[in-house]
Amino acid sequence: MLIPPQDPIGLPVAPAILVALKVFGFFLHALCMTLWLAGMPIAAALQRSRPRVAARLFRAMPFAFAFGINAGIVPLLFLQALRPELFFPATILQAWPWLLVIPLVLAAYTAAYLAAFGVRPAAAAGTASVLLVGVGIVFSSTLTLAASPGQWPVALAAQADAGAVRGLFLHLDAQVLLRFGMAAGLALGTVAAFLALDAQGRDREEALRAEARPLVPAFALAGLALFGGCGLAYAARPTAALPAAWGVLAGAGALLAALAAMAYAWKPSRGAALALGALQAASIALSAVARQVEQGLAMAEAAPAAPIVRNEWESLALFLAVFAAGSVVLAWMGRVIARAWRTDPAKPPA
Amino acid sequence: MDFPVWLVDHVTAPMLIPAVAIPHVIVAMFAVGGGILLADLVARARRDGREEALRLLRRQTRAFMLLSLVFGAVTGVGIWWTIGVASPETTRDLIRIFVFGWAAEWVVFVVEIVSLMAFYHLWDRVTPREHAILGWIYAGAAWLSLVLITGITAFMLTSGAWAPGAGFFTAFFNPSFVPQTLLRTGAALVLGALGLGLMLSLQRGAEGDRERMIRRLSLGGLAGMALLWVGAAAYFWTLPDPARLNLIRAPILNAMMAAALASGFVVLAALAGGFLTGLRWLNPPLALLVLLAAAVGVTAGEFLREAARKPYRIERQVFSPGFRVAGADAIRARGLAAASPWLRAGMAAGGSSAEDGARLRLGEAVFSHHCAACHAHVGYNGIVPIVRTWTPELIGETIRNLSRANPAMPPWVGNEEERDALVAYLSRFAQGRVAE
Repeated sequence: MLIPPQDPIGLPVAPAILVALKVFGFFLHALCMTLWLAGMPIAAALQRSRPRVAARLFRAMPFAFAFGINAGIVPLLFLQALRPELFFPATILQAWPWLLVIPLVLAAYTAAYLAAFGVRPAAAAGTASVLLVGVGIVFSSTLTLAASPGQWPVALAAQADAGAVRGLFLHLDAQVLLRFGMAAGLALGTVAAFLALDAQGRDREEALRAEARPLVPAFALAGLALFGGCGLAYAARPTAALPAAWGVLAGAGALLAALAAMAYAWKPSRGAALALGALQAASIALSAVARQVEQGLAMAEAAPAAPIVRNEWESLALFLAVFAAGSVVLAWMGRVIARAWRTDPAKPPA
Repeated sequence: MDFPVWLVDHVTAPMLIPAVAIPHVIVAMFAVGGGILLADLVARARRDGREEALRLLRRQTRAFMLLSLVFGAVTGVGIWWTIGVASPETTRDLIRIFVFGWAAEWVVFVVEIVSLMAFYHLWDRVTPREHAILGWIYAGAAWLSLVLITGITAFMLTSGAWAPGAGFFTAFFNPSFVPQTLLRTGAALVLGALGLGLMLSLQRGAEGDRERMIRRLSLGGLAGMALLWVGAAAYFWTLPDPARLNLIRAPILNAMMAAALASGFVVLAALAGGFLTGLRWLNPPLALLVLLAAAVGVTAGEFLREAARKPYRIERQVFSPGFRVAGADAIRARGLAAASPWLRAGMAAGGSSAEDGARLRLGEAVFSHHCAACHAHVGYNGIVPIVRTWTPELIGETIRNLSRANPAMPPWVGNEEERDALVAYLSRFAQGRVAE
């Protein structure tokens, strides 16, 4: 058995608390990640035919990257804390592809800024899109391998050297590609919601709204088809660990968001855009929870040994105190930012 | 022992960590110190109503934001990526001890991102007071992030009174936490002053404003230099004896310390020059050279910290090859192969360069799991040049007395069969034989 034993240090508090934080972080990450995953190629493709929409997407990308990368730390941190015995072997077995994620993200993030600053935006966004597909595949592959220790001997045999590994392996199977397809489907829905919300913002020109309007249902329906198709195939796998209720909820969320997109296209309004945004966020949240439930079940089946729990509450208290203080500061900054957005840029505040 | 070992020719997997960490540390320190100094410069320019200075500072903030949010943030994640694959046992232990410390740092990082973006994008769209507060929020959050990460990295060098079962704060407030916080805060101010100075040297016009700013930056840098040297002295004082011995006895580390000191004097002279003469010394090539000298100092400092830690990854908790200090005797009793399923599975999977016998294959696998974390074959700390003039007997005795022969080495934890196999494997390179 290659799964390492539980270590004597264990977890500071009950795993359920870490799982809840992991799901929360994954939801935040998915909100931004889905925007950049589809937003980048769409912006590149629309630069000539829908320049206003493309410009708005280009402008949003640096923010999506900044918060998406930051929020992505959270689920990985808690996954490493909860399941080091599964996570680390998978990343070591494919060490080079896993490390490649860093230069790829660095290049894609830089390209996002270049596009936002108007430096060959289509080329920059196109390049970033290709890089991000690579990043997505590596993530999907590594996390699939982490939950599939039965595949580790295969990965080891493919690269073993001197009793060790070379890190030159990439696990690819239908599951990896289907999960990536589901993420891409959700991403199209997020772009649809972004376009609706952005077009209904204050002081937006009518031309932008006209450009965005037909795109919203088109992206939402394409996203639903991709998400639904890949999701059905994913759930139909004989080894699927996802409880049916979560699968149905995630699918229903995506369907409702697509219906909201059609309602928006039929009669655009700020309310319709807000409803679409809320339903898309809910759809992402349901998918995030479903994915985390599935990952948790698969990992628990693969490695049933429970970690030691130290019941050391001081570090959780520190985190909660920092979280509370940070939330107060963020709320103050949010108020300042919201007021500034309402201010005419031509007139500095008093 | 619990995880697969990742082989990286010539450099070793753990040496990829400084390759990512050093550029990150330089940029991250610049992001902290530069943030403090930018907030100060902007607040003063606003107070004095110097519009030209604000125009220059806004352009600096844009470059600063790109560097810290893109390169700083992604390479920071990169360190985490690299330590996980290069030193998984250490990373697992650190994460399990400090998971909420890292989570707290994440919150602080969110505050950093929002405040810095708001500071730049809302430059003229909020009141001067709000803008100044945004700048100071960024500076405070960036410094807090430095403090949180220092508690974790300092623990690796001085674990203090911590033992499994002890609390988070026992680990966090370890003996070198305060000295390292001082040192890093000082280094951050120095790098911030030099980085912003370089940007200032590339800008034109507003001579009076630039003159004032360079003096202010130099003053901040000098304050940083004072903190850095106080922190460095206290840091050296708090080092455990073996770590201090490591620094004193290895010629390469003596040279590193000399390089760090020399870079310190170069930077000190430049900062004093900037404070006394203002713009006169400031031109892009010179500013770049001084920044590079500081980067050499930081690189040497990081290298010294890594080297001082040997034979531990986490002082008195985890040895360099990845086995726990407390578990070393148990591994020795069973043998390395029996204690490491990945070693056995790796051997069974084949892929050996030592095809001429089971003993050599075992020796090669033992080398991968016991030695390859610090020794390449040829390259970083290369084993081939080390044993070239040795006899098999000397190799055997050295392995048997590994930690006595060299206190920077971990104890040997294999059994007799594994030692014989390793001797046989290394003897292939001894007495004039070269790596195949």
